Amino acid sequence: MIAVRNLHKTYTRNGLGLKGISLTVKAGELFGLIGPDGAGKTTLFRILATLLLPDKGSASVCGLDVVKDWREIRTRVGYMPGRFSLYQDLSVKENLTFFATVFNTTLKENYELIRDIYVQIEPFKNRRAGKLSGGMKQKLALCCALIHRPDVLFLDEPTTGVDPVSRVEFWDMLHRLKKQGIAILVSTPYMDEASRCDRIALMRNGSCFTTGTPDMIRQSFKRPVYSIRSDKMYQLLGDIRSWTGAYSCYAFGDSHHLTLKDNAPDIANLETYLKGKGYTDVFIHPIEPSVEDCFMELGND
Amino acid sequence: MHVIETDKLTKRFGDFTAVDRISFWVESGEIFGFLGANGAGKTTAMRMFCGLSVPTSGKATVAGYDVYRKSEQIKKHIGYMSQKFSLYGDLKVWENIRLFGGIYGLSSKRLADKTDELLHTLNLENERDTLVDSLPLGWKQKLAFSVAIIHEPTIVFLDEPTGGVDPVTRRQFWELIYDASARGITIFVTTHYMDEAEYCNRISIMVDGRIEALDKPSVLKEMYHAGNMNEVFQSLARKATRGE
Amino acid sequence: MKQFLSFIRKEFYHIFRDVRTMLILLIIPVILIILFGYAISTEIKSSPIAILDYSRDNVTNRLAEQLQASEYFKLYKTAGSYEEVETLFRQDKIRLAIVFPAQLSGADEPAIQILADATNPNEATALIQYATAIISTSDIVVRNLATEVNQPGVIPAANLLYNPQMKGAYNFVPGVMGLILMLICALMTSVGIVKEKEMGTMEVLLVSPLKPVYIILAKATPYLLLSMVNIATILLLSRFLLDVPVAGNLILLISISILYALVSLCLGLLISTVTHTQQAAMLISGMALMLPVMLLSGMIFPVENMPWILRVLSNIVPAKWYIIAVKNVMIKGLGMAFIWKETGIMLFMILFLIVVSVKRFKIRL
Repeated sequence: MIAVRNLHKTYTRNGLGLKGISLTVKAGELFGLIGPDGAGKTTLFRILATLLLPDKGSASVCGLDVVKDWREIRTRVGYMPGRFSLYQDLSVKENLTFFATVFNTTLKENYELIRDIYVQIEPFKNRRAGKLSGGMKQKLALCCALIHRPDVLFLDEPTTGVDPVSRVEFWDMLHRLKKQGIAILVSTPYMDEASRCDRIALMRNGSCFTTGTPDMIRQSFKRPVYSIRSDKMYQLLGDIRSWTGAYSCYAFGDSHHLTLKDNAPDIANLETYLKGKGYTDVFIHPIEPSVEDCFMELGND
Repeated sequence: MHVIETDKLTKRFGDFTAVDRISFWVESGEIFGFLGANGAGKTTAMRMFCGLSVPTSGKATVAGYDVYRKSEQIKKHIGYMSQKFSLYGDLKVWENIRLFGGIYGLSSKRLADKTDELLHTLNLENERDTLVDSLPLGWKQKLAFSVAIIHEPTIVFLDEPTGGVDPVTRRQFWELIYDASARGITIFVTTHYMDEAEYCNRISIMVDGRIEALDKPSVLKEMYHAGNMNEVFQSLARKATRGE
Repeated sequence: MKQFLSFIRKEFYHIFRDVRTMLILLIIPVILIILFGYAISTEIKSSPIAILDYSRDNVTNRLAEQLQASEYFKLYKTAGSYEEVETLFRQDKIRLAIVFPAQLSGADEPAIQILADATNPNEATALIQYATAIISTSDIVVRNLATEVNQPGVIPAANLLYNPQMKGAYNFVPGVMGLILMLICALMTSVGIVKEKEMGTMEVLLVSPLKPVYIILAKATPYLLLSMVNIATILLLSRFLLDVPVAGNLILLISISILYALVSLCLGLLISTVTHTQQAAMLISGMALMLPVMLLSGMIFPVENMPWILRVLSNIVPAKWYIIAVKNVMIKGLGMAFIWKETGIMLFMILFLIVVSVKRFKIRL
């Protein structure tokens, strides 16, 4: 449904943009663009939504070229931009009705598709959109983007700034939509959401350094990873980093993740080293790397 | 000494109770995580602590000053940084530092020293004359945090400081927080990253305007039989009835 | 069509929900009319004058009486000498002095001297004109002076056509109409479109089957209607409050107003294509559109007296042509035959602006 080949776009103002991106998304696939601010995710969305012209490379959506067939593409895609882009002074109901007519349809016509989401915002249908909370706004925006039953859905950071509970609900909705055969391209800065995508692309500074299923990406991680816990966690971070076998060490919630150098000594050596530094309750065990580990490792060039 | 102390602090807007009788305290030098779903009342509570909004009822002191009568004093002793606004993007790095240092009344000698020290710590020495807008978000946020504590406040309020920041820079940001905390600055932080909740000394979780849970992350996990903070948060926040 | 109507309904929601802006838009014309009608009147009333009369015969006495009787002048003092007149001018007690020479009636070429304080040149000119008019049309002058020198044609007889009371309202009502239409149509349209860009909603609208031209038309229509409400308010106020009736064809007047409103809408559209923030749109509309309307349209300052460069520039100010047309129709009661030039110029401006704006309006970000 989406095919991107070696796409380039440069902004003269700040040097950001895209530096050669290629990816494909199939019908009924949930594809995640994972990367921090400034990775080029929004630029990619705008090119695919025919709002920007690429400098080099080509892209097609539903088999239509984003430069030539922009008019046709605009009737086939649903787009939810990065920031809240509905009318704040219009009520929930008015926003929905308005976008329905803009897309030449009615709320009733595609009600089945959005029912799940709509029932959650229905209690607030007379409230002005500007007065909704973050999670509710995103649900309303998703409804508006879906109202014309698009073949392809572009969601630019729909969960940024949204609390964890609403985020889980939002991803549940995306999974139900996917089952209806809609191709979904979604971007997020939250690494933990990667596991909810069929396939992901890890992006940074305008290029994507790896593409694949989350499992594939995790398995491609070459270095051994250990989870380490102790009593003085912050101090521990510095001490692990100065251990001879440490390649990198970062805090991961309640434990630290350590990756080993190629010729690292046995992990038992670390335990002795830490005990020598006066740590008690040192707890070290090997773990599977997470997508976030991969991102930090691969993006660390 | 408690940097923040509240007793049945309440804020009502018409018949809507945004913050409902919250009572808690924050100890000096601790990293306090202030969690809650969107619309649970976090922002309203933060505004009251910063002296920007007058409570409807209840008591609260920040840095020893009463929030009703001493809001001007409070503002002198706190730092504030949010994800949305922190620095002027059309000013250069050093101009931002000078501006905020000046606002908090630093002498020009001290300001010059502070500027050098700060740029050195952040590895931004070569970016002194760069416009803040052209820095990557992560760098911007680290700079904003350092600027927010340039006057060595008693407590600094951080409102989702790491949203959208890449994983490595996000961790560097937390290392800055630890450094500040080690210097005795109390940290009051909100975040939607649950792994960051683990880095706090104590956290509170707000649901529907009330504080539903408040303790060390390890205690909370035990209490709710959860493997990580995300599960704790999910089980508590799902109880929310007001979908605001 | 349904899309379009729904869009217009949405625009009205925006307008009605921003109560403050809407009230300002509806009240501004009323305030302007009252302000120009009463406070900043360009008319001259009861200006203090001094009379220095060396003649003191029945002719000069009669003239002095007639001058005082007019609503324009009020006798401040009968001066005894030139020195005294000068002092009065210096002390800012009088705006005008009239000097009757000795033996005015018997002189071969009777010369009445009129002295005015020219620090305010417009006012001085007007005062001199009024005084000349009163003196030259005075019955006693006609009878005694003109016949005596046997040159009845020498003394100019000014006739004030169309606006016999020389009321300023006849000048500024068309001016206020030009200003209000420009304000609402250009400023509000440009701000409205740029607001969509700023809020990010333009992004969503562009990625929809909605044709960009619909977006533009739908944005402009409500303001066109609103400006018509304002025109009605202004015409009613000027008719009943300021006693300025519409002398010509009302339909014709409304038609040229719509034409001018379209010019303004196009200007607003053009501004919206070159700006990205509401402030910028507002500044450009204010500085680049409002000021020329005030200064170069002939509304306040007569264009004929300006340096040639400003006179040339004034030709590209649409308000100038609109105000001329409105004056012709509303005050002079003339028909289409007399305003074809102005109408033509405005039509040309619309065409030009539409071509430029449509070329500039981006179908992408």
